[in-house]
Amino acid sequence: MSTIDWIVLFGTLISIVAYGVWKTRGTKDMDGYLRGGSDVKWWAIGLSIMATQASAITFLSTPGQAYNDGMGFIQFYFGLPIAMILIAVFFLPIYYKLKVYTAYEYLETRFDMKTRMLAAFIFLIQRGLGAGITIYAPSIILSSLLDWDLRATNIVIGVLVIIYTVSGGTKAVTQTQKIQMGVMMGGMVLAGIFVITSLPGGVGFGDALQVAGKMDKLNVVDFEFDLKNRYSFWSGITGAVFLFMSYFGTDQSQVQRYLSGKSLSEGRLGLMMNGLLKVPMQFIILFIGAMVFVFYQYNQPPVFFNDTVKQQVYETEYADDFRALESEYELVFENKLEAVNELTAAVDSENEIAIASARKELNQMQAQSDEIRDQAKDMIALAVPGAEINDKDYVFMSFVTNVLPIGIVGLLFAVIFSAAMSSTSSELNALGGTTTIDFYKRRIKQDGDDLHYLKSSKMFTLAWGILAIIIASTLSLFENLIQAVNLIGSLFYPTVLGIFVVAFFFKSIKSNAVFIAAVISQLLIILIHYLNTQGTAGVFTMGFLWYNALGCIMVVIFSFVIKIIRDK
Amino acid sequence: MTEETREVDEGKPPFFDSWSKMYALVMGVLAVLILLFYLFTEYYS
Repeated sequence: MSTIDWIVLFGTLISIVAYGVWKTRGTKDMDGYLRGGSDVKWWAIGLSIMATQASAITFLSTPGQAYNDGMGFIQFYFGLPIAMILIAVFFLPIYYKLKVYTAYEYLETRFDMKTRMLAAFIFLIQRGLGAGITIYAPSIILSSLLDWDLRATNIVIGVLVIIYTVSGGTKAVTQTQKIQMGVMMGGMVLAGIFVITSLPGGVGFGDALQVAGKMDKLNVVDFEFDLKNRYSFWSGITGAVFLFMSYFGTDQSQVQRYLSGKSLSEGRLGLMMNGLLKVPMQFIILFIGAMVFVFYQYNQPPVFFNDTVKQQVYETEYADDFRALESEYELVFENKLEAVNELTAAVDSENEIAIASARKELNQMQAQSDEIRDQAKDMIALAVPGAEINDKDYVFMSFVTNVLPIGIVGLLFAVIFSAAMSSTSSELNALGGTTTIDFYKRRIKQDGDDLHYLKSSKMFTLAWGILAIIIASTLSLFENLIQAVNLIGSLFYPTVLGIFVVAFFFKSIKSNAVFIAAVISQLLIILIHYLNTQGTAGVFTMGFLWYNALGCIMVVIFSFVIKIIRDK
Repeated sequence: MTEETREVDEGKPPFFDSWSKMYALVMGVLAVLILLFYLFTEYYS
């Protein structure tokens, strides 16, 4: 990167941290630290909710997902507005009425302490792991692109977040997220403009859409019902609704955002803002990925997008074979370029037969191209044992570093760092708050004053920050980072959501029944996932998003069964 | 455990006289987006 890019990157990051610390220097009580003083406006709540969910993974993986598989991933978000409404109607009034710090406090009021502890414990486990991934995900890619040590990158992100989150708590998180969302959205809009203007002369926006569409990258909606299909309209409006209800309704890293509102209406409006803007926002990010794909139909892409791993291959005995594959890839690209131009000409002439013929030829060429990429990945696996051969998460930033102008590159790196920091800060804030309120204050020291718990919250937030850095330093790359996060959520969220659903809607069920049902359901979900990974799940063979619906329903049904047995 | 509770002012959303209408707007926007995405997919495939 150029000096200007470094100045833009570090200028942005240091400004955000300094702003967060300065703006919240007066936070001296628990209400200010954990609920942001309960005076946050609805639009700031909405931005905070969006910034918490939009981690670096969103900006790294999502364009790569569109590049490889098209835009179908958007369907996953169809359930989000529905979940926002359900939470606004059923969850929020109770949280506000009870004036809770954490969602889990409500469970003690409704059931008992052990149910509260179980839900809070599950949250700490899955969110603690999540915080590690939130730091690790950008680190693995940024360290490769910036040629930094991976652990040093983990520490830079972790320490920057710890400084303002420990210092100012929820208020600092909310204040910094306003700026971070501005950086993220501004950066992505600029990236979108540059990717379209980087297309060769004579290739207009309409041509780019035609090429992307004819190569199956604009397949946004799929109405076919198939349980094994991870992202379809049906999984979006069913399984994903459960996941989003769990995440936004019971995950403290989100609950804490809308509990900071000065009234129920402010909290609800924040959720509605997310319900209205999230789907278009994801569409834009995926669309940028599809346009990057089109860009590489006219410009030679690398056979493998992770340059660091590629350099390692060059130093092995496979170097010559790998270079031969690269030459073959370039040859196919030249032929494919002719096919792309033929398709564009056919579309311009509106000749349907010519379009069908050019499309068929182009997709055959693309299949050849993909085959060479697969061969290259197989070779990398042999040449550099243990190297990650999935380069999906490198596609977008590889485009940014190689194509975008000076200054914008630094800004896009700031986007990724900002996204990592915004999510991590909410997570650490919630982990520290839950540890303090649900465990320390409830079980260990009940007679402390406000200042004591404020200091304890800061210490626990710091401890979780350090632990997140340690977890980040011990992870290895999953198939796809965004899916890793969703998988962890899908394994643990359904049980917690099931407990809350029973609490809200089935008043006759008491604590012991729901507690036993939750433990059984959690174990069964883990077992079903294991059987799915082994290919022996039988009738329970399904994409992991369906665990959210299944696990929640299991908790409800088992609760009823246990209640009936105990009543006899 | 004793819980502190407070009266919750349901309030009204801006532009509408009830929350039901606000929720209908959110669902309506989602339906329109899905329709547009479907047309987008069909047109360019």
